[in-house]
Amino acid sequence: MTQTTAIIDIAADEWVAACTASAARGCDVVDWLTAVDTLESLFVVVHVVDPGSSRSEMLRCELDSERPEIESITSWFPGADWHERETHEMFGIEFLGRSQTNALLMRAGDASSPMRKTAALDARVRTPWPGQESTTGRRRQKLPPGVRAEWTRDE
Amino acid sequence: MSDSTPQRNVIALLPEACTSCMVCVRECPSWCISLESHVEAVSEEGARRPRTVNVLDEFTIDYGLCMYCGICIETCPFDALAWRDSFDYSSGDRQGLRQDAVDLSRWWPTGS
Repeated sequence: MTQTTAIIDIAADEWVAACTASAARGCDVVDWLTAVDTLESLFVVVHVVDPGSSRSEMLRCELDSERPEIESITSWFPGADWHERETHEMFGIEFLGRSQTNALLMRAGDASSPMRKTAALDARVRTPWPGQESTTGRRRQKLPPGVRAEWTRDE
Repeated sequence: MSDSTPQRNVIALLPEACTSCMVCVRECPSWCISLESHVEAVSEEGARRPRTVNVLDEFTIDYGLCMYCGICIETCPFDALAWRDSFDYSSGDRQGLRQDAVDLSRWWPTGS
């Protein structure tokens, strides 16, 4: 059974305190942690559950999208380790206070943060779009959906 | 899921219903459908001038890219695509996963 969990917005400097408070309320297992990029803002979201009662809490924190960084919660939630590494590589978020770990999913030294909305999808730009051809004789659509004009500017 | 709802196993094509409108090709998130067509003039008795129709030449789904989302089936305005329950079409090579209009229309009569 899926229940809707209310999202609790947390200030960046209260992130660890809020997560440990959730743990104190019984939600001491990290189900998942990830980031959400809406282009206007960048959030880090964590879903913590109480394995006994299946009660859960969702905590969200807005980050500075130019220099995204937040305190790591791995000291209190060891289960967040993998998720923080993945979120770091995919969204370029710096998790402070955790031991540096080598690249998990991306090539070492690749800081392209592919899950950020600003990251250009190279394959989408380079692959010919099957929907380019027009059968109706109307003006051709220049770019496929999801491909932004600024990605192709430098070609 | 009720018994009458087909599982997402294979996409069947009814080429007679396809008008080559390209909606499925453009909506496909994984770009796995390709379609080629040409325009033909059909003259009908009593009509003042011939009607132009799109004739489907080639319709291919690359099951190596397809993520079975079903958006093509949802968006098809003419119900030319549908889910079918067959799943026995594995292949040892990438090319074997590309199914053309003949392959895809073969799934249609197998029922839901």
